Amino acid sequence: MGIKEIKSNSQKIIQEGVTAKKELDDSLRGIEAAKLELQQANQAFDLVCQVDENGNYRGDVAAAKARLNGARSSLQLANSRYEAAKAEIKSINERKKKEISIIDEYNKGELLNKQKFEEILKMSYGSSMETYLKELVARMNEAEKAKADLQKSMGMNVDVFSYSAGSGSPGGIGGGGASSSTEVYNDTSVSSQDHSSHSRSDSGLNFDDLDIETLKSLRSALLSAYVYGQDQDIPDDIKVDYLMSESDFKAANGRARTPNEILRGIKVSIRENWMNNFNPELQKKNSSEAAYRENLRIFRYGLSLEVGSDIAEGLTDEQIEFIASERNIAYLSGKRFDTLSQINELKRATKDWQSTRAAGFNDTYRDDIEEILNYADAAFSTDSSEWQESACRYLDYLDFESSVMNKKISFARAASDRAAAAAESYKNKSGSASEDNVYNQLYQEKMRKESALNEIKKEKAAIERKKAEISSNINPEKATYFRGFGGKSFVDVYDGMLTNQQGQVNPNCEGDCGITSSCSAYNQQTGSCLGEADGIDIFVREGLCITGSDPKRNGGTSMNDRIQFFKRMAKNGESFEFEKYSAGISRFTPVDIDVLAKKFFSGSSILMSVYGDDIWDEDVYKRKPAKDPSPKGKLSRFKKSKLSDHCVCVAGFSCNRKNDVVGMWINDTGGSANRLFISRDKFEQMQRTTRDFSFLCVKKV
Amino acid sequence: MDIDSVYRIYNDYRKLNEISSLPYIVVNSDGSKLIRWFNYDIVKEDDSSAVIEITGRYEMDSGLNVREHSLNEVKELELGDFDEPELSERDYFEKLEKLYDSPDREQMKELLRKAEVVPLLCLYEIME
Repeated sequence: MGIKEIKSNSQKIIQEGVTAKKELDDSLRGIEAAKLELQQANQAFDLVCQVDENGNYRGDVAAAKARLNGARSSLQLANSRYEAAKAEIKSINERKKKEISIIDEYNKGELLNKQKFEEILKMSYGSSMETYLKELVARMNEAEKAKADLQKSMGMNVDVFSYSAGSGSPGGIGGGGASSSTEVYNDTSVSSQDHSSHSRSDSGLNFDDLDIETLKSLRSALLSAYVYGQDQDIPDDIKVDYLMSESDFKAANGRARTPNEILRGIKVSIRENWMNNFNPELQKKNSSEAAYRENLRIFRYGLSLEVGSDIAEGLTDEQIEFIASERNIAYLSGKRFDTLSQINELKRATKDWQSTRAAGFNDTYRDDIEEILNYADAAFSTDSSEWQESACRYLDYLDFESSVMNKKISFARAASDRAAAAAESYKNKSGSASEDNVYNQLYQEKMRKESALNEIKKEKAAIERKKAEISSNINPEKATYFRGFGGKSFVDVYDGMLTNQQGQVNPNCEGDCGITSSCSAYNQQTGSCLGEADGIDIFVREGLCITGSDPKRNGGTSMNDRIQFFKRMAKNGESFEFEKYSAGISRFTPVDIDVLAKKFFSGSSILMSVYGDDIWDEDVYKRKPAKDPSPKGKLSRFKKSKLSDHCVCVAGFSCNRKNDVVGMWINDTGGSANRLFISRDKFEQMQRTTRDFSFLCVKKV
Repeated sequence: MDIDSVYRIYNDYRKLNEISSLPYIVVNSDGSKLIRWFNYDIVKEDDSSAVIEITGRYEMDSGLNVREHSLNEVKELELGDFDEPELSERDYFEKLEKLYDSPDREQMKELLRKAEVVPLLCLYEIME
């Protein structure tokens, strides 16, 4: 209950008491009048009941009797009215006592707040605290006055307690410090909130009063607590639950704000001030790499409080730097900065930045694609179909990077123009000389933006040079184009696939190629993001893989296990249809790659069981196989040689100018680079030489 | 019996890091026929011995329905010197298809002896 409510309730009860007292007095007067009437009616009745010498009544007996009965009834009614008024007064007095207890409780709470603020004040937390304390004391005094009014209305003779901004409490609560009403603060207004970009406070405190140095001194005490969750230098009894709480200081109007709320407000202001002043370029220049990264992390955390952690976590460091820089410009030039709008604009402007490639889902696509060309350069001559295919896909990637650069250039140019305009506008507005600190900062920012734009242009030029170099070695006759799952490009098609090397999530489960590939296919079909850990959980829970064995064996699955996985993942009425393909044993009929491609283009995902050695080449790839690729020992060599032992998921097919399929791109989590090409010829050869080379086509229906 | 269908289904039950034994015909006392095999892995191997872990036994009826029995049996085998079997896997399956119509226990054993490496033959006797 706030002071306004307390005052209002008190006045209401006092008024009700006055009304009840008036009713009591009226009812007493009614009793007196009724008694008089009864007396007169009795006398009249006695009079008419007398008889004359003839034996007749002297008057109208019936009428006198009626008057007498009426007088008796009136007296009865007056008595009832009096009893009701008495009961009402008793009830109101009870309510008054209760209200006094409420006021005592209220002021007890306020007194604790006061003591805490005094502790804070001791820590030199600025003049705003004094203002706040003043307001707090004024509220307490108002409450005391309401209490005294109530007591007076009950006929009690009371002194009005008052609180001062110094320490102490009235005798009624903690003893000592009571005084007569001499030092009651009159200023009870709550300071208006200033939502300008310079000084903003969610707490209702006016941080315009705090200069930058004060904020800096506060930062050391509170920012660490805010960011790291350590209540450093904060009194123990003021525990801050800032990570869990929402600021809603409007709700605090009319009641005392708690110290926690005030601290939260301070922290918001400190955070905003720190973020407004965070200039990535300067930070980079003036601090160590580790310190810079830490500050970037803090900025990201600050953003997450403003726009939500999902959005903040989805931004790259580069994007965070951009947002910070733009915010800093806006702050310095006195303009409002809408973080969320900026992020949305950023995302709209750059498709690449919009992609949220979570860890393990194509997040290292640049390295993965570089690896393709590295492998091709090391293993094949440039005129070979393998090199040509790799180069074509690398060109796809460079085209993508080039388009990203175009968007970045457009955005950087706009940012540069904004920075230049901000500097110019400030200069014109203030007639600033070169010594003006703000102008210098804006000017420096403008130069940095220009420099950033030039850097991006250089990157773009390097990409174009690389494109020209690779294109010069492409034989137009061997050029191919890529058709990814769902029509996706070569860069994006691996987005929903598990691209990390298997076995890293759970070192005790290295043989889970069937699990990772099944998850990739499931993600292709449903748009889900099942990761390796999710897949292991599901397969283990459902008893669909090897467990409790050697790490290299754990996670092993059969074709039947993988089918069961999809069946058990079907939900909400959906189902999966399966088609299995294998070459057979007695009448060897290899599966035609065109048949698979047709299935794929019509929406089926393809899991392929292969002999791992056929696709791994540890001499060329940087990544080593997760399993021992060559069985040791005569028995192992004999029994395992050319027996399918690995599962991969198909990402797309490459086609030549005549639209003939020339090969497929797979996602391999087994060891070598994840993006691997299997040509039509190799595909057929693998089928001929591999025992149990099989395919599982899965489609959600 | 369509041996290609048997072959495909038989492979469906093999975990990729395991090996399936050769399937063999078993005749029940009621005259019904089953194709039985077991899955195993070579846990350890050196020149003279190998440790085998048998993980499951499978039986396929004439309707191509498969019953699975999980196992966890570890066997140590003396390897000695052994040669590649006389019969290839494909030849074995072709002969198994023929034998299925009128199965004979001794012929089945003989077929296994020709197609399986010697050190592993004892496992078939255990699993019978």
